[in-house]
Amino acid sequence: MKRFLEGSFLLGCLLMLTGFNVDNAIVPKGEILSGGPPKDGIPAILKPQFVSPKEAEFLKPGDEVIGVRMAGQARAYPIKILNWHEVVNDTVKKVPIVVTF
Amino acid sequence: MVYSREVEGKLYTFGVSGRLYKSNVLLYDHQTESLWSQMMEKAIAGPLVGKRLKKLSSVRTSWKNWREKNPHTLVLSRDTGFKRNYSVDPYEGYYRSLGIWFPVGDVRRDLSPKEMVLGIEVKGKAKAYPVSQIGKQPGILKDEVGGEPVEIEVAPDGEIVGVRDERGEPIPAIFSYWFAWQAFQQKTDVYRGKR
Repeated sequence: MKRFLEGSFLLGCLLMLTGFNVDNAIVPKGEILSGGPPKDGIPAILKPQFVSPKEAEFLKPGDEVIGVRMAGQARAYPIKILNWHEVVNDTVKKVPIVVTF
Repeated sequence: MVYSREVEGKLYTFGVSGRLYKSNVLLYDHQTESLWSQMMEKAIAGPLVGKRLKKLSSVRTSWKNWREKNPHTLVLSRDTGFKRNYSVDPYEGYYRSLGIWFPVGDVRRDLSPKEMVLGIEVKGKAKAYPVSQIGKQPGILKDEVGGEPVEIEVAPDGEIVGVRDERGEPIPAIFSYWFAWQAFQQKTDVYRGKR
């Protein structure tokens, strides 16, 4: 039992170190590096909320945004917010999109 | 950059893997934990390896400019479910794009490594346009990539506001450091200006 627990512990550590299975990678595995924050250390946005331009008083005229238009609807994703999340999972007019920075 | 979350008829959501490839942050999808490269626009490891991301048209511009052109736009709220101080830049002014964190390998010396370029790929041919250079010439820049006509619209203030083909359809283009662009597009041409 002790040996089993030790084995599980080692396997767990190994999984934590690697995290992702890259056995079938189509780029050299040695070039897939760990760097910066760990998995989800930068939290992606999964349930984005939106406000009107009037309510977006936190934006200055010169602040940058990533702008998207889908079927007549426009959405702006401020770089100020993307800086902290890098990824926004959204759906615009039934089109599922991911905005990345 | 903006991509469809639908890949071969299935929906995915994406997160930040914490892994890098050529200084590019790799995304992962929560459903299969495959790793995705934004620059290569496909999964590079995991169950979805080789599947492609479909890039959608987007622009990067000032809030003022976007709002003027899209008065009814919605804006991503600071109410994200996370407590972050969005008035502070976590990278303290370090200009970054495409999740580039540190430089890669040998860099072609056509341009300086951190020169910003507008990168366009048409029919497998890539071309880099130095932003500082084309920003000096407001108007429509007509050029060719991969034998196809390309039109780049530069606003009076030097901002690049559109990249289109001859029918006026948007062509996906990205802003990138030269070092990152040339790492992925090793045979890229570089725009040298009109003679």
